[in-house]
Amino acid sequence: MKRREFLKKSSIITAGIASTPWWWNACQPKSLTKGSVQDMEVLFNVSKSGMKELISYALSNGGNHADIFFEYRINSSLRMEEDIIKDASRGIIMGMGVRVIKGDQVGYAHTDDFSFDKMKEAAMAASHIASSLVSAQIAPIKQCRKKNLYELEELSIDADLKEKISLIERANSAAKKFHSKVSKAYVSLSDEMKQIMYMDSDGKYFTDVQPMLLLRCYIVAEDGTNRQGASMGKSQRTGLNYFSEKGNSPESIAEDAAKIAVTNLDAKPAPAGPQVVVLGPADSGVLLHEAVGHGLEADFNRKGLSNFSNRIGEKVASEHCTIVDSGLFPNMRGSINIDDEGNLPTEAVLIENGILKGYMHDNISSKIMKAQPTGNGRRQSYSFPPIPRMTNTYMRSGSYDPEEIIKSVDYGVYAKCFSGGQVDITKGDFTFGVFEAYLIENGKVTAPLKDVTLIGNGPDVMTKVTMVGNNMEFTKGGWTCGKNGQRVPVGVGIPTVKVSEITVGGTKA
Amino acid sequence: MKDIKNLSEYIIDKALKQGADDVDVIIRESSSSNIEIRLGKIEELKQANPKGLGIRVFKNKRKALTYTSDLRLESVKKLVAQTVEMADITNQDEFSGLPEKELLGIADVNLSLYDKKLETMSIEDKIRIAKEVEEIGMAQDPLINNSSGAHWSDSKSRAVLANSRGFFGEQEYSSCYFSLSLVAEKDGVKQTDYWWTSSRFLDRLDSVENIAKETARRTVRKIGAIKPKTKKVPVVFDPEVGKDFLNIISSSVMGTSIYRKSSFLVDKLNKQIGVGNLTITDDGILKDGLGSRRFDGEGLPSRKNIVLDHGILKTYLCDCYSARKLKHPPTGSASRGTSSGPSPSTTNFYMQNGNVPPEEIIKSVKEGLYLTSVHWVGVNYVTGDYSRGAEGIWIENGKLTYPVQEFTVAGNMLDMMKSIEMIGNNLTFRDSTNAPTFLIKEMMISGS
Repeated sequence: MKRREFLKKSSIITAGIASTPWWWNACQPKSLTKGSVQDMEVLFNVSKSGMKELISYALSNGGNHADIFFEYRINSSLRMEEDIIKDASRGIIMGMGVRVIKGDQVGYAHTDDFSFDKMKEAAMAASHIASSLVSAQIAPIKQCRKKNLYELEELSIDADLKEKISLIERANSAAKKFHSKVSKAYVSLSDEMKQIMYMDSDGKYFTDVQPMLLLRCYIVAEDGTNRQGASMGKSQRTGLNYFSEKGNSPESIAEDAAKIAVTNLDAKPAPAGPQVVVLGPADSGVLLHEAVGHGLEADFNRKGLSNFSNRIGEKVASEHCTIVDSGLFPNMRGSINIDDEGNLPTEAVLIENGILKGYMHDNISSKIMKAQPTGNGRRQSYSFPPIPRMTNTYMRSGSYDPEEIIKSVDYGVYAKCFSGGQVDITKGDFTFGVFEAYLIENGKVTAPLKDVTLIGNGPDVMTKVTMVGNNMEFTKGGWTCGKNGQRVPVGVGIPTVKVSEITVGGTKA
Repeated sequence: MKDIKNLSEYIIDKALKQGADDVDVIIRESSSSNIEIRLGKIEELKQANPKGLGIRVFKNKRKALTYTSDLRLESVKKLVAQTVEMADITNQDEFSGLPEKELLGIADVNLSLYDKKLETMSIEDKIRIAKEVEEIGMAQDPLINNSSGAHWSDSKSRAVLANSRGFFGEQEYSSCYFSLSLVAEKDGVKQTDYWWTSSRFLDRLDSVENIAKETARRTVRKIGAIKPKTKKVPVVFDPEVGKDFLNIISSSVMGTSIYRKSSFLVDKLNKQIGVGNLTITDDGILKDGLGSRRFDGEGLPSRKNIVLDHGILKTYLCDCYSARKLKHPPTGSASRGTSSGPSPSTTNFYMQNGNVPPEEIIKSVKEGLYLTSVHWVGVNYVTGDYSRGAEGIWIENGKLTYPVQEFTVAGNMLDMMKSIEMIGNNLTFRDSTNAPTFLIKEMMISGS
């Protein structure tokens, strides 16, 4: 008992030697408290030496690594229905999470009480994952965030609500004007500012301000008793001026949704059974996300739970496929300046010309698998420890003209807009819902199809990719990925792709 | 508890003084632990005491909602002022507002929702349960060669709902849960499945042994799965998939879906939409029900609603807003989180037991599908079209034969409800939505 106390104290003394490094002032963001942005140390009433002390408590039972994560998040949402703004909401969430790692074991605790005692209590609760006499030492702190992929003039969270309402009204009236069969429009604008501060026992320290903006329209079209609904949205880490850019107007989002809803009134059931499927650009990237993306997250692989476990260097897809995950694209929904455990995002090549090259890692998996960190350790919020997650997952362009790809199909399905997908990582079986799809007959896109479901096996489908277009495009949609109960924003992208066979669900043989 | 009661009174008082016509407040405090064990080792041990509050303000038929995890008085004071101010930017809506005073109340039933034993249960005991269930599960079959982990979680919460029309309700509730997920492998093909138990009371959880054995059985029975042929066959719904079938119906009887016309059950009230022995109930005051409560998210007393009575749709499930929009009687079906307004939801939603033993149902099928799992995508709630990725076991001559995967099963909900041919006598209340086994005459399988 005495021995333990001593060691605890000694590690705290190690922690106490925090001195301000020479580069410190130079690395501070220029305006610390612009609009809603807060000075996190003031907000949580904790100094850098206080954070070090908390890390020492977290390590006091012998952990290899400890980190603390502070989050201050403002969410705002406005919703129009039946031509009136029915709901306005605003939420302020703040909390602190502490993680202790011992090998591949994680102790985690979080609190939304910010007295030092409560934070210490959380650190102690997390510390108990370990029980050894030797604790890790705390390294001197170093700022580890490099650039800003989402620098903004003004955060949308600070914009005048009237300005947001006018964007919603524009979308709403565009939908109603689009066609006489448009009977209902629901438009919502939600945005978020997430401010985070992180420090760990390796000395990594960063703060980041992560904005997010999403405008969504759900349109119902009616023709007698025939009703169809369609939803479209655009989302970026950006400010309201995004909607003034060409191609991003609120009107265009509403019209795209209205067009699908009205078109689907005349859609026919999909032909059931195995079919040639051409995936349209951008949104179909959801298929990559489910069919291979999740299976290439390193946690499933280090545990031998994925279809792709122990297969690096093997051919797992057709030679046309090069699949990449990158958090580096400015303002994209899945992009991050730094992941939630202090690693910079990378351009991680997962599959190159059909050969499996690597997995997406968090700190734990990169240590255990002795791989370079890829910057994929992400968490939903302070309530969760980071785990390997995708950022923006896409397939690189191939050589075919998209027209040529369609022309090569005698009979098949053209899948354009997806409503979502799901995968069983262990076996690789996936399902997708497609809400905009067409028949391809004799090399031409013809009749609209309704309620198309695609089902297949991820690795199997990737070997059946026979043509890849030269038109890689990222989705602008607001995709959110769920894993282990944690939701994170992601991006997907893909060129036009021909798959020689995917099973299409439906009632018509 | 007294603290959060005082806080709720403070907020209501403050908001009224600042110009609100009406206000309601929900405050929740909880403590939880989560344990993940894999291959005998703790993978994650998580403990937390989250809390939150939500404020809804009505002002001249306009409304606004705010929420926070920051319960310090100074912060709350600022938030109340912001909420009242924000209400001005929304539009007037004649249907919005708190429930009429005479609707408010607490059901006069004795529901036990809180287990004191969970307060004193040690973390070591929780770890032991998760370790044991995995160890026993792994030993069940030589084909089982990996584990995706055993999981324990429990939580204890206190919640207060109060409004400016005099309602005050408080409730303590607890829950505990453990699950196991295993991997079996043969000829290089991996299969996985899981099983779980959940209850408000520690002593009512299923045994470690049962969960271990059932997980192993469900995992191993998937080994050797093939893709079935594309054809129309009768489909037997396992209770797990029956639950999913009921979830589609429950989403579609919500008042919100009805007034928005985003449901295939629009204009179907008092019409025969199912077979004569199809009765579906939502019972908010079911003794020992996992979804039971004494008052709903707006302060109406909980009650029992018969939704489908012998195939006839008798009621939609409404919150006050959708009830007013539809001129429908209130049903006490609102649920409310701290970060969102009330919306209708189910409590204990179940299909009434039939009288056929499940084995007899399978025996009656010459060739067909025993459906064990469906993916969530593939339902069009507006039209009722159903086309889901699925897994199951093929039935030949009344016997379960080989497992099938990588196919879709399709139909339309309205047709499916009218072609239920047999309902099993095996209803159990292991979840908040429950169904017995049942047989649908014919559905389209799309495979090879």
